[in-house]
Amino acid sequence: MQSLTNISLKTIVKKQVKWKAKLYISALSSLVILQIIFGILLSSSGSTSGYGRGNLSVQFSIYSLDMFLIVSAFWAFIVAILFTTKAYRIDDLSVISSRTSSAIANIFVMIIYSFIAVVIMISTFYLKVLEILLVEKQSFIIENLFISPSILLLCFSSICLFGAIGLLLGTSFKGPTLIKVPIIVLLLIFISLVSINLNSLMMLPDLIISVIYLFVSVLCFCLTIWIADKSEVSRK
Amino acid sequence: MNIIQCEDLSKSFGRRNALQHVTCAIDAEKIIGIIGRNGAGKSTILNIIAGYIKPTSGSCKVFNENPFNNIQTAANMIFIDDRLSFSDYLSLEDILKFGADFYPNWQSELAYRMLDYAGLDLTAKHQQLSKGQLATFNLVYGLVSRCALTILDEPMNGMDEAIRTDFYRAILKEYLAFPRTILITSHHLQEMESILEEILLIDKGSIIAHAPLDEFKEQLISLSGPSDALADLLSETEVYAQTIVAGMTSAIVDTSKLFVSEDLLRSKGITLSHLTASEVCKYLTSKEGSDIDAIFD
Repeated sequence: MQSLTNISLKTIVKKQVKWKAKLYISALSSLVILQIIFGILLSSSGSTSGYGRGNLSVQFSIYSLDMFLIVSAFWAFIVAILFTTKAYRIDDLSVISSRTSSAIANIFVMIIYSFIAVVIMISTFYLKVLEILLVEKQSFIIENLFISPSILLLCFSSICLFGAIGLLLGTSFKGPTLIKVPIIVLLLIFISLVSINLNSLMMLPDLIISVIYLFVSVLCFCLTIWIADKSEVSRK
Repeated sequence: MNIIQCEDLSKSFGRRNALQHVTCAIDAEKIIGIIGRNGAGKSTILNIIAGYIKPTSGSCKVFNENPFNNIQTAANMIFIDDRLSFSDYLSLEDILKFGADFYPNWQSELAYRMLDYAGLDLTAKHQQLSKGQLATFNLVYGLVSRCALTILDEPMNGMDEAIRTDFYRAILKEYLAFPRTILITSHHLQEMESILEEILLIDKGSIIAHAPLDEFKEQLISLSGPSDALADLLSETEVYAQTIVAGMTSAIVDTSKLFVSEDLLRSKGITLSHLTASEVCKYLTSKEGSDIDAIFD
């Protein structure tokens, strides 16, 4: 009998990540379009306040990354859900793969894309700043021209968290019923608790928030792999 | 050596039993036809062997391991059916590169030659192909990957007759060049009889026959002769089909229960004729008393 092929999970995951990162690249172009639409064209990306006294009228606009981050996080959630849809799962069956290898590959692609999303987000933010500076010719009081590493980490961890929740939710929907119902219920409870305590969470230092977000992301990733490992798949 | 071993395998989807207590063993390096009517459970057993779905009970071993979600099974197995799909962004040429990156025994040159023979444009996208072209491409993809276990589920669906004949030869030639276990299901059993070594017949979720092709064809036999000469004989054996026209009876009977010599039958004016594998399948799986004509009477 011919000798059997021995391929490690690591090798397959590497190959899957390489191809998936290339093939899903349109997801990143959609982020660029979304950032341009929401961040630059539709929104001023800043909270505006003003007051006047006599002939003097002063108007302040605070430009921040908030809107860009919200759009990126929402994008990550949708993209992650898309990665777990039937069409993508069936594509995985056309080459050497298992549900576990595909889930791990999706997680790595999500992490890579989160990095790239931060770069896109920051670039769009600076474009916006440049637009205000050159086109609108407004005066600037620059608080932080260079975005601090802790803010970058916070942006990355937030996008990653939303991607992780999307992957977990998408994988749970296709998982065994005994697993998917408790996972979805737990996820909804977690999201409601976070929403209620959002203010107290926001009071924490950026680094602590990032660590919490990354911890929850890792938890979601582990659950995603565990559910994928138990899931059946069919081309029908 | 067995590469597939199923023991008391059952699979249910809700209340429907797709497979019931299936036990079978499949040897390495053989071309085996998995035959059965629509809904018999062929695809279910193939999906279990491929590791896509879990059996409800019983066990299935492929290469001595549980195939479910097993990367080693996946590395040595390819499952080709008409739902094989690839990313919308890949052209056929990209798909060949994609396959070459994953499968260690991939035959790029052969793939290009076969696709050129079939007249497929390498710049086309997979989802732009016609049904027949899609089947041709998928089959080429399955053959050139040279996996130890190649599962072909209705690989010729949509192909025209000429290309079907060519690709049965291609399967055989590829098998000879690189022996492997090929499980093939098809509704064109007559066409593929020439390449099969064994037949595994499934009906209503159970395996009702698993034998080498010649042995399989000898399971049933057709007897024709005067009705009165055949009456006693038919009462002692299992009759799968019977027609009586003008005092002459034709019947399909179980050979294993026929304890009469050929010479004796001839002396009574009864003639024997052998059936094709396709006919044996038809009679073994036909419902008792089922007759399409009866619907219109």
